[in-house]
Amino acid sequence: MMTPEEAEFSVFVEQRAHALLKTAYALTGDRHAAEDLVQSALAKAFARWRRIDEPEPYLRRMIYNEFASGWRSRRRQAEVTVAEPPERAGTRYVDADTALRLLLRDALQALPPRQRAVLILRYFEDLSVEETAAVLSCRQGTVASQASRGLAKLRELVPQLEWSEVGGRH
Amino acid sequence: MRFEQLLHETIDEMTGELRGPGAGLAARSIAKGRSIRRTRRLAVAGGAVMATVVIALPWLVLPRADHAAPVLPGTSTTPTTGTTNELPGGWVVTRVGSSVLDRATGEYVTMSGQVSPAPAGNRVLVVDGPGSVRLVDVRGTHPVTVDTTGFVGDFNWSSAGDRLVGGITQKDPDRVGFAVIDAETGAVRRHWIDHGRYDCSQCTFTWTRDGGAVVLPIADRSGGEAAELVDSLQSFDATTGEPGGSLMVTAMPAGPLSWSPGGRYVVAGPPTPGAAEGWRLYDITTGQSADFPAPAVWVSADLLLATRDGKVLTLTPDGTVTATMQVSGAGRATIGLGPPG
Repeated sequence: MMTPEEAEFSVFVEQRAHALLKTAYALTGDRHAAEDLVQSALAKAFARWRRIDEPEPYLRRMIYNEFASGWRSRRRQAEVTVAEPPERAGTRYVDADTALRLLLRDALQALPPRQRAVLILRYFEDLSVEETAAVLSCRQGTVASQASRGLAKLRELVPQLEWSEVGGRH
Repeated sequence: MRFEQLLHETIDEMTGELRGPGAGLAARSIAKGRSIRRTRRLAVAGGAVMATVVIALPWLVLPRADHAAPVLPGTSTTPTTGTTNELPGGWVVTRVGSSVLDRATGEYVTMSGQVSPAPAGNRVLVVDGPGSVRLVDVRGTHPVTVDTTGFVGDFNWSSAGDRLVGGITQKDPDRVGFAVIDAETGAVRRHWIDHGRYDCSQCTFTWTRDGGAVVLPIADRSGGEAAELVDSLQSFDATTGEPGGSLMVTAMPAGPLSWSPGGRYVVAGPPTPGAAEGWRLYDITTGQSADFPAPAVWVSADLLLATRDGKVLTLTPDGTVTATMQVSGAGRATIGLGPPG
């Protein structure tokens, strides 16, 4: 028999866990590592469930923060490899855009966790430097530095991209 | 294709192929969450025992000198009407919390917002929201507003109080640098640096004592990306932005007045703002350093000042505290120090 708190938490997990898993998967590039990361965040959230007003932003922030600050999956070996073969285009013919996406996917996995998190927050979530620093609990200068270093690495790994047109708000 | 567009498409493609979480995720999370709660309860219970000891101890271990510390002449328990607190070498307490010294009258004025008075002169930086800051005189006159879009981190005053420096970044194209703000006019001059060559972790710039240059801690990546270690300091001309020399200092200077008058020594310290421990005195001619008790400022070649817990400490260059002066009413508020004039 579940308590009302457990029932509320279970409904939240049923409704929002998939979205959280997507965020974690974008960061880790590995399904198992993503599930570990989400479960770890959910467990910590449940421990203080009554004090959390907005669970989804709280959990999303926790996922980014944990990942960037050295979180390691119980199945770490899977985390450092590229995405699983069954989910990949493999050696069959792919068009130029698909090839670029595959290149970028691998290149992102080659970045240290914090650089990856910073780039996803800045260029995918479109957060400002200040907002990104708040999510990752680090200094704004660190965000600027990590973004710069991450982009420099991606330029090396994906030179085919139009890098001069990187844009967005400050 | 542009990077941002490709990143969106790549992540959408990755996550689009992802199935939902496996069964039992909620139940497993609840079980783990309960375990975390139990651990926390035990930790809190243990902490209560420790707190009893810590509260009792200060009365037993505080040296007598601290209890008998002299009260600074002229300090006031009501900072808004206090007068200048004179320190060795004619130095003054420039602020106690939000009460800021008006050097023209010697009175302290309570200001609103997050304030940072210059170490010299009468200008005050006021941060009252995101996107911009104000520079005003202590009495609120001659205000100028500075658009802080693209600024990152703290603003640091020059020793003369005529300029501030802040880190800057830009997304399109990606760049990192510093900007010098004129304290009177609010004019901003941006200088971009070669981040590939001058790799910084926190990218925080501080002034040299004479205000001719700013220095940037260059990253030491040997401990990994997250370690944020410092390899050396790189100087840049504050007017032209041109890179200058590299200095053998492996930490961030505490401020412009933390450089000795001759520029040979600097008190530099831990990356955590406000940290009490981990400060060191560096000799930039040899790169050697020694522990130092606080982020101090140099009054003269043989005398330094620092603040701690509502007190002003007088120190010698070897780190010996020779006097402790209480600033009345300071409590744990931030105390600022500045040279005479």
